[in-house]
Amino acid sequence: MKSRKAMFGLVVLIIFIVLGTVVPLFLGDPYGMNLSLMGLPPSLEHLLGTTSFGEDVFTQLCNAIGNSFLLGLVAGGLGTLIAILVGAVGSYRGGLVDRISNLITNLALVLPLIPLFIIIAAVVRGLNLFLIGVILAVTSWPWAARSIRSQMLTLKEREFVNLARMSGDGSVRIVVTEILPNMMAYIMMVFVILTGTAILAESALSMIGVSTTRTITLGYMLYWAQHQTIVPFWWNIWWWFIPPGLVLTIILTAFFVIHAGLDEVFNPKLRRI
Amino acid sequence: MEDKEKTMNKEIVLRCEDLTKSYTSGLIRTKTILAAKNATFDIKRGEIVSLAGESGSGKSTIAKMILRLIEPTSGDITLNGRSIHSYKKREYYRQVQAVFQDPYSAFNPFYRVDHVIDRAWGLREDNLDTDERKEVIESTFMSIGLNPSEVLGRYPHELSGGQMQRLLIGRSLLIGSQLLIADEPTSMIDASTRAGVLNLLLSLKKEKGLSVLFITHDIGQAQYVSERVLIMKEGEIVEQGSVNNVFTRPKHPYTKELLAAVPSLYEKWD
Repeated sequence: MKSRKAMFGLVVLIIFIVLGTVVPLFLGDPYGMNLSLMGLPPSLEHLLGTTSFGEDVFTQLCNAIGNSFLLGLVAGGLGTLIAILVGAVGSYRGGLVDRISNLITNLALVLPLIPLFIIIAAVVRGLNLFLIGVILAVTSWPWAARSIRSQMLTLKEREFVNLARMSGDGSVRIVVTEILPNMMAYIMMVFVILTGTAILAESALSMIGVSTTRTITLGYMLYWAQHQTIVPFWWNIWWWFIPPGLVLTIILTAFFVIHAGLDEVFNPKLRRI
Repeated sequence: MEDKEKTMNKEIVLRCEDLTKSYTSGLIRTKTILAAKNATFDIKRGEIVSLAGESGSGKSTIAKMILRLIEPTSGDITLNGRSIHSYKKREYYRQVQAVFQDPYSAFNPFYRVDHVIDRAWGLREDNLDTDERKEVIESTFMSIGLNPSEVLGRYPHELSGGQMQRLLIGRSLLIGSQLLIADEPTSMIDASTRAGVLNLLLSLKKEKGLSVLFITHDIGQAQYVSERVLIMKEGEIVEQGSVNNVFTRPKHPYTKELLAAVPSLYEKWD
């Protein structure tokens, strides 16, 4: 890894990934309520205190980090895949296929995400984390498909593509083995950004209460913290809403720092001499 | 020996007849651009034919049609008397290969240069084992003045333009193709290595009976390597014939213009 920025972001992310995947195994039930422990401030027994329902905030936080990452991975991975499929296949084949995929991209580009989500949340019963990931993926790819398309348009004119065709290779093989590897850097950056923004989008949607209400994510914690600490305003449980907010900020910063770092590595114009 | 050459020269390898390629553009596809218009010519075995003309005259379009990289709008191309579309792609590319103008874009920067050789090797019909294969590759490379240990296992950016062009010529030799489409193979490499590539084409023609369609915008190079020359302007072949005839007694005004524009070593422009 050449970039110190990307390295730093990666280390931060890995710490949180461990916190979200390994640590919950040693903690209790994140949904377990104990009304005798309502609203306790941080202590050795409850590292980040308890909620107004008597749930342990640290346990909830670790589980929320894990779930948010899982959602980001589903949405980011699927979104990147759709972007590659729509952006690369259409432009490589050209003609009608390109026109259709361009039309789909344009349509998806103008879809308003939050209103759409409110409608989906109202209609679909039993919205789970995976489904939300899929919906976020389906709405997040257009800008990436656009830029993959334009890269494909320049790369497919390179002579090595012609040379591969003259070695008897088929279209799929050429796209996968000759063209996509040259876009790897860009695709990686798309994945990083889509994952980060998916985590943020889910948190925003959870926080206004239109996402899943069954799985703990960072947004879900913020939603309940906001409800329970603001309505009875004398309950100032700061240890409930500050940790998820802070973690969300740090994770997203890490994603964007990685992105900026990768950009510096792959884009010679940004490289400092 | 001379007789043998004469009989060899009679055999037509590639023939293009009324080859036309048009593109449509504009909002409702009303504008038509003719990239190549009724091009008719042939290439015989062991012959280097030059296709000369200015940029945008349609030289590369013709090359791409012959290489089946784009489809002609109308007209026929035949290889050894058979329409090129009757060949399966792999079978066709075993016989017709190309060297392109820009060696730096002909190699995928993601892979070592061996990748190109490996892919091309797949077109060969014999199943040689690794040792035999290595031997064939090394002897082929030596024969075209490439040191295998200097080029193999390296990334494209570590090689010079001349080395890359030789490597591509070596690639088509390994495939065993009989017709090479050389699309301005020397225009992006140093003047000092240029002669080496041209001489390589000439010796391959002599030793292996390779036929070459040599595309160039440099009249001097056309005169140096080829027996026959086709002069192309705005998609049309305006004049064709032996190098001697065309360059000493040009008929078409454009050919005259081209010849007049060739800088001479002892003359100063005034």
